[in-house]
Order: sequence, then structure tokens, then C-alpha cells
Amino acid sequence: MISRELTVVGNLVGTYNDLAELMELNHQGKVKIAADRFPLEDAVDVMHQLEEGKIEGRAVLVPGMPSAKKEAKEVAAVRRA
Amino acid sequence: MKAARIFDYHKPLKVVEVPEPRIAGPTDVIVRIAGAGVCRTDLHIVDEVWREALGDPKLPYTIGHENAGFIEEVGPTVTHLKKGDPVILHPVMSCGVCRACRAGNDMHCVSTLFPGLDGTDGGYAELLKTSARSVIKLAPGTDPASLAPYADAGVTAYHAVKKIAPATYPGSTAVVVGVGPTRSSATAARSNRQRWR
Repeated sequence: MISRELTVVGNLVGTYNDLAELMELNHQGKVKIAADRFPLEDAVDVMHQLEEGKIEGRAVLVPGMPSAKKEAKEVAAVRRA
Repeated sequence: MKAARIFDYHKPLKVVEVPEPRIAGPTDVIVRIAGAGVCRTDLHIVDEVWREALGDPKLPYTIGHENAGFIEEVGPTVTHLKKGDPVILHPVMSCGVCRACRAGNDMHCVSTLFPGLDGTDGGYAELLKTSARSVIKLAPGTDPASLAPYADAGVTAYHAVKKIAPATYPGSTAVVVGVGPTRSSATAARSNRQRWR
């Protein structure tokens, strides 16, 4: 540590300007992120999928996006009734 | 409005109806969420990993700290933002007057709030209240939804790469541990800086 003059550096998120710069890089097409959209209502299921390693890239929850799972359940409930 | 909230540790979130946030302070900003990133930290919150470090937040609250959307409403002193502007949110709400804030290091603010983590309601919801200091306006016409993960995974990687860049040189070798979205962002950021091979 001493003889090689090693340094340990921590990291907590980043600054406001870091994020603004990143948005500029994204706007220029130089940085991309892989994100799939899921309905907000499916939050529990999406977190479960993340836990199981089934999410590739990042999952993004979208309010108001129709929940296929919820609709399927409702259809099933109607059919049962 | 709908929000996904933690009611108990080690139990699934519940999607429930909650009152919409209201403008209370002069610099408050309410954002209509277009997308909220799902971070492994969110799993850790439910698993009680962060409970002590976050000061034992009062449950229930709405989680979600990677947020992007459109301006819905602003406090009376906020003049640079208007309804409908596409925005991404820096994850913390900072005071603006402490030494860390004045140095630009809002994440080290001495009286920071961290929506989605410390008991302050986050972005797994239709609307989120934050402060004007956290808001980054996106280029007109931008679809903010899929950009949400930049607010944490992206900026964490970018900040780390910027910190390590001065210590490296063309031909340096770097080891990146883990294969999640933060690593992907770091790889992209570092190749952009063209300092590492």
C-alpha cells in the first residue's frame, strides 16, 4: 500500500452536473442504456423477476401502462364467474 | 393516484391508491412519472438491508429512486420549468447552501432527502414531489421513460469513471466487477472517454 502508493476511492451516485453531462452524451447517441418497460401495477412481479436474474438491462416501471397480467387475471375471474 | 409502497420488510410491495402530492414549499416541483427504474437497491430495501443506514424510515412509503417524467406543477419561485417539460431527476433533494452543495456534491448534502429510500416518497407512482434543484431538463421532444435508469445506475457509473480517469492512461487495464446495468453504463462511459482500452 505504502510503497506502491495505492489509493482506495469510494463512490456515491454522482453530482447533478454528472447526470446533466450523461444526458448530453445520451442525446448525442454516445451512451445508451438497455431498458424494458413494465406496467407500474406489475412492480411486485418485476422485482421478483429481477431477484431471479430474469431482467436483462434495466426494468422501468411505467404508470398507466396496461397490465397484461392483471387483465388476464380479470378475464379468468370473469370466465370463472 | 396509484403507488407501489413498502408496508413491511420482507413482504412484497402493495400497489395502492394514495393522495396526490401537493406543492408545499416555494421550490417544490411535482413530476408526472413516465418511468421509474427498478434497482437492486429496491430489493435490498425490502430485504431490510438499508434500514439502519437510512435511519429506520417510517413505513409505509413509496420506493423508486430512478425517476424521469414530465413537469406537472411547480412552486411559486420556480421560473425555469413549465408544465410538460421532459425531465430526469437527480436522486437526492439537496439544501443548496451547505459546503457539499456549494461544491456541487449534492449527494453529500448535510440535510439531504432521498426520495424512494429514506422514507420520502419515491417514483413508483403516478406523481412525485421533489425540489427544483434536482430537476434536469431534457431536450425538447425527449421520451423520458427509458432514460430513468440514468438517474442512479448511469450516473453512479459515470461518476466512478470520471474519478478513476485521471489515475489511468492509454493502455491501462481496468477490472469492472459485476454485470448489471451500472457496469454496462461504466463500460460505455469509459469507452467514450477513450482513456482505457
